[in-house]
Amino acid sequence: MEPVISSRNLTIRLGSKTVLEDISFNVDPGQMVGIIGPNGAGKTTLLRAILGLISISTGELTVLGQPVSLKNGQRSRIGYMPQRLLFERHFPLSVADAVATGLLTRSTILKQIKGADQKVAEALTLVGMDEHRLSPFQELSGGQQQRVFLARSLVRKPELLLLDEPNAGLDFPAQQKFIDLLQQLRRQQNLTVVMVSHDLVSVAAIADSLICIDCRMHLHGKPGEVLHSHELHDAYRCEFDYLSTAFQQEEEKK
Amino acid sequence: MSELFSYSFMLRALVAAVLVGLLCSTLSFFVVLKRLSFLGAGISHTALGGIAIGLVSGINPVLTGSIFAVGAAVSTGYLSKAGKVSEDTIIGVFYAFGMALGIALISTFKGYYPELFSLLFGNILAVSNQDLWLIAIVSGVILLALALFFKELLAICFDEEMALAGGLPLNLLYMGLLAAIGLTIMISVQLVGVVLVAALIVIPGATGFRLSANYRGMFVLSLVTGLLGSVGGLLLSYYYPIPPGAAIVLLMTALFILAMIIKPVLSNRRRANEVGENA
Repeated sequence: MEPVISSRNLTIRLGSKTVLEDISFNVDPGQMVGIIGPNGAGKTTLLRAILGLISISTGELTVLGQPVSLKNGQRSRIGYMPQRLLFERHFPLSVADAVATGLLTRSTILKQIKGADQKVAEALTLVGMDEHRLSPFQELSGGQQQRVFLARSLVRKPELLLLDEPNAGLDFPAQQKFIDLLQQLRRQQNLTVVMVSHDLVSVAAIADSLICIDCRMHLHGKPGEVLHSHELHDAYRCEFDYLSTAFQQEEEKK
Repeated sequence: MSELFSYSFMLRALVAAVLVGLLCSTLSFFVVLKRLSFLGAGISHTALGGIAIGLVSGINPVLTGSIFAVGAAVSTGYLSKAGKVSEDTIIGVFYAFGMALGIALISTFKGYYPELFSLLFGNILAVSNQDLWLIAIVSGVILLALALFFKELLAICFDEEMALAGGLPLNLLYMGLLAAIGLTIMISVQLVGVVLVAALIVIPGATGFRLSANYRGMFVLSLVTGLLGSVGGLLLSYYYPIPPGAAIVLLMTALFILAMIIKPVLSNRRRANEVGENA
């Protein structure tokens, strides 16, 4: 089976700084992969490279069977949910309008998008927000806004979903709700998911595998192996004994 | 009122007020959503350097001012996207540079330059047929472009990263928007002058933003504020001894203050209705 993402010795330099160096991994269809690492490790850069938003300096990166380039067309098959920090929280859009922005691509410029209302309604139903279709986006809670953004990333029915810190800034119940929803959608839609997260325990509990980077590749393996590895401590430059215990407790709950 | 428009200069001023009111309030919608208000103020002041160059060299100062305004707007966008300097820092530098250059060149003038005062403080009553054509053509082109790319511009105002991920030509659209702001500022200078022009591209959008939680409502309210302010200000200046530019900006500011006052009242009424419906 051809991997959805294949990275071979990927190196990315931004100006004089090497942000990612010699990164190699595969993501198979239907897998959920967590990308972890300390602040400034290059996690968001890796997601943006997969999307084709950043030029690759050396190495190879193949996504959905095509080498990534800044001009290729596979972006329409990828759903993306950027960090929450990057948008205006009080923007005057309805929930449906916010989701509809996810339908815009280069090919929709100067064109009416066919079936837009139907696509938006379907995406909102998937995340359980169809009742809020006409509500002002700015009046939703953080957790609800996050579900709307998930709907926006699903509105083009992608095969691959990239999530950048989807749990950041949410309280614990909202985080839990979001993770449960993600699990359910992943099974229903047969999605391949790559999720960047700082919440190691939550991501380890739902991911099939974890990739730990800190500019360079540190680890790639099953969540239990990664969380028990000493290399994780090296990447974060601190001890994480409590993580193994927390992860074991999560596993026992399952 | 009818005798008011029997004067051809007044009729031209009214048409100019409608066109510029329409154009500025449409752009103001994007300026407020993209948080470019300081850029608007900065560009108008930067343009003073270009206007002064035009006056000194004998070239049309609106043309040289436009080159400065559009150049400053696009350079700000380019430098902030390419480098690590924020937009407000760059425009802060341009603002100071344009003003300093303008003041330095103006200080070399000998005698009285009525054109300079018109450009500094505006003189809508002096709009000629030629000016009107220029305003109409520039307004038409910018409004058409904004209408054609409305949904894409709205998307980049909401979430640049997502727009980029979708493959939208973010830099092209953004630079186009900035160039439109620069040009709009320069053709609006004749109405209210360099000193006050930023108000025209900030206040209408800010009023709409304050009153509406939906962009459609915000857009309509922005247009209403822009048109009421520009036409109402012109009429006010006819009946009262206030210069038209100042009257336009004062009326728009009054509409904004009114919006600030009535917003909590509207919100409370809406909440009370929701509670009533749920009870």
